[in-house]
Formats: sequence, structure tokens, C-alpha cells
Amino acid sequence: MDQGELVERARTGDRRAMQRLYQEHASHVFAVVRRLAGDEQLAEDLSQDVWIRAFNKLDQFRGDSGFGTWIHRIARNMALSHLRRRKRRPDVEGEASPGDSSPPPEDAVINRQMLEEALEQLPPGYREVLVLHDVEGMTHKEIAESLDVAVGTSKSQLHKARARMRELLGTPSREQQQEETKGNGAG
Amino acid sequence: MEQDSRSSDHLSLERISALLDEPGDDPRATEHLKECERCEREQERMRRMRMALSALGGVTPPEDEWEQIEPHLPDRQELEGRGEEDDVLPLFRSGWVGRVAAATLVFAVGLGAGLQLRDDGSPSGENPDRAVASGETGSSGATAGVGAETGRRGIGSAAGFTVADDGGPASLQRSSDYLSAAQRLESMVSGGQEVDVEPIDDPVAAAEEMARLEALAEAAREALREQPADPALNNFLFRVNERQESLRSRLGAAARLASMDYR
Repeated sequence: MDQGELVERARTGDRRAMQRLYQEHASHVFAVVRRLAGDEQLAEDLSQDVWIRAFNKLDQFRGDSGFGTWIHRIARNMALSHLRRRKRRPDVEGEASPGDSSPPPEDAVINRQMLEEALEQLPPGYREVLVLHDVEGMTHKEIAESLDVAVGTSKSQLHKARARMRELLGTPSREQQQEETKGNGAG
Repeated sequence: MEQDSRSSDHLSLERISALLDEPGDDPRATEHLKECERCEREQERMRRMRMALSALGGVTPPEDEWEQIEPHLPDRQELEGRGEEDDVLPLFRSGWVGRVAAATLVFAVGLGAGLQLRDDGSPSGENPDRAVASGETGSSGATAGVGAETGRRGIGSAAGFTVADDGGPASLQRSSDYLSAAQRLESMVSGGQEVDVEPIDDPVAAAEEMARLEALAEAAREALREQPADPALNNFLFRVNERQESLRSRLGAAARLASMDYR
């Protein structure tokens, strides 16, 4: 059964069709709310809300885009709405430089777990912009409109977030440190 | 602190990040990158990190998430009930909103086609829009002229609402349905609580409201094709458009995304 049929059946209240749709897209929905929320419990609540809302509003889905795209947007918008309600101010932190504190790792393999852990440790304002831009692929203009900030603020937050991510991605190994020391002589 | 690229100091991570996205933004910093192995390597690391972020996939939700969700899902009976409402007109899927919109538009056409509005028993009509929107017309009285039938049929067609041929404007005036419709329209157009439920915080509700407003606007435009100079209709459409603009400005991108993309 293709996705269009599943959606049609779900519209009639077919729970099995709903469950199939859920199973196909649950990880992506959870990913976007988890990364934006930065909090496991909040993400669980938001994810449930997204699915409940989506299935209750399925009559609004016209099929112009895929169901996955549709629910992804709902997830993103609901997470952003929640974040806006919290009315946080942009995080203001000092800039990082390659020469500051411990140097970032050399060309260590950046695996997914490292990234997810680093994302969790980012200040919320940094994380939102980084996730929206580098993970979700939104433009600064879209981010600025979504978060109700200036485009320049979005850019600034992104660069600060990346800098912080570089710091959070671990301490270099001894070999890496040696390589780093060699590299320092070239600056 | 960010370093000046003209000096021998390294570029800050933030500057390196900015150059990654906009390489031509700072020629001197770009020049520094070419000369400084360390900064160049740091930019390469930053590029890899960016690529890795863009490749992040899904995250496994809690095992019992579906069990948590399922009790809150609509059942077949509930959805079938909604389907009956949908038969009125796809654009007006929100139950009373559609009926109110249709009824109100019929009312508006009646006004625009020659009604004379009365306030406190004296001739009025200078501001039919205010009267429609505030719901004052029903209580103050409205007498209809002729010529509204065509427009009413047009609106009725646009709104999926049948206008009885034998239902004259006077009957419209007396109808409590229309009074109620006008009052509700006021709520709708001016952002009252009945429609404007947490519009900023709820993108889906915002999408619904935008859809309702667009349906109202489209129905009004349809009626205006038959009676383009109708002042009440024009004022009505203007008010709806104002409401749309207001909502857009308050919601920013969220409202636009919700109204345009949830399809």
C-alpha cells in the first residue's frame, strides 16, 4: 500500500493506516523536535502533540507535498512555537578563537553521537539556529522570520554556535595535539 | 576576540564559519586563509562538521510513543461526522465558521444592494461596513432595496449556501441567524476569541484561521464579480484583507508556512 492510500485510509479513521504512517515517519518527527527542544522529556511531549494534531487535522493535508514533508513542517513549526513561547533572549557569549582554551580536535572522525551530544550542550539560542540552518537546511531569512529575529542575528548566532560546537567536539588525541602544534607554526 | 585578518593572528572560529558560508565576504580574511595553514585546516574541520550535521538522520522515539498517542486519535465515527460538514463546501470545513461566513456574506450582499441602514431610527448607511462587522445592523434594522438576488445567488454559490428565491432582504433582517452571523463575523474579522485562539503560538490554528479568512475573501471576490461596485462587499473584503495582513504580521513566517505549506 503506498503512502497516498495510507493517508486516505487514515482520513477515514483507520488506525492501522495511522500506525503505518507513524512508523514510517516517527524517527524524523522525533529528531526535529528533539534537536530543537534540546530536552528529552520536552521532545517526547512535543512529538506526541505533533502526531495527535496531525491525525486530527489530516483533512487539511491535500497531498501537494508528501506526507513526510507535511508532518515534518508541523513538527518544526510546533517546536518553534514552543520555543517562541519561552521567549528566550539570544545567548550572548564570548567569541571563540582557535587560539583560545583547548584547541579543537584535528581531523577526528565526527560521528553522529558526538554531534548529538554536542548539540545538546549548546545554549538553546545557538542550538535552534544551528539546527534550523545546518540540519534542517533553512535559510537565514526563513530562520529570522521563524524566530522573529533579524537576519544578522541569525547569522551571528549560527557562527557562534558552530564555534562552540567545534569546542565541544572533544579534546584532541595526543597525535592530534602534536599535529596541532606543528600547524601552529604555520599561522 | 575576533582577530584582524591583516595581522599574523589567527581568525576566530566565528569568522572562519562566516567565510565558509560567504567566501567573498571579507577579502582580507580570505587572503589570510590562503596563507595560514592552521586556519585553513580549521575551516576544513568546520566544513566537515557542517556536512555531518546536514547528514544527521532520524532519532528513535520512545518505544511506547504510539501507545501514548493512539488514545487521542480521532475515531472513524468522529471523522465521518466531519465529512458530513465537509459536504457544505471544502473551503468551509470548519463547521459553523463556514455557515457563518456564508450567511454573513449573503447578509452583506443584501446590505450592499441597496439597503439603508438605520441607527436609532434615522437614516444612516454611511458606514455599512461598520454595521456589518459590529453586528449592529440586525438590531438597528435594515430595509432592502431590489437587485440583491443575483449577488446573493452568487455568494450562495461561492459559499456552497443555498439562497431561497422567496427569501427577501426583510426576512434576512429578521433572521436571528444573520444577527448571530454578523456578530460572529465581527469576532472573526476583528480577532475576537472565537476564532483567534492562540494564533501566535499555534501554527495549525493559525493555518486554519488563514484558510477561513481566505475562504471569506474568495467568496466576497466571487460576489464582487457580479456587483463590483457594491460598497458593503468592498468594505467587507477590505476588512478581511486587513485581518489577513494583521495576522500575517503577527505570526510572521510561521503563519505563512502554516497557511501555505500545510497542504
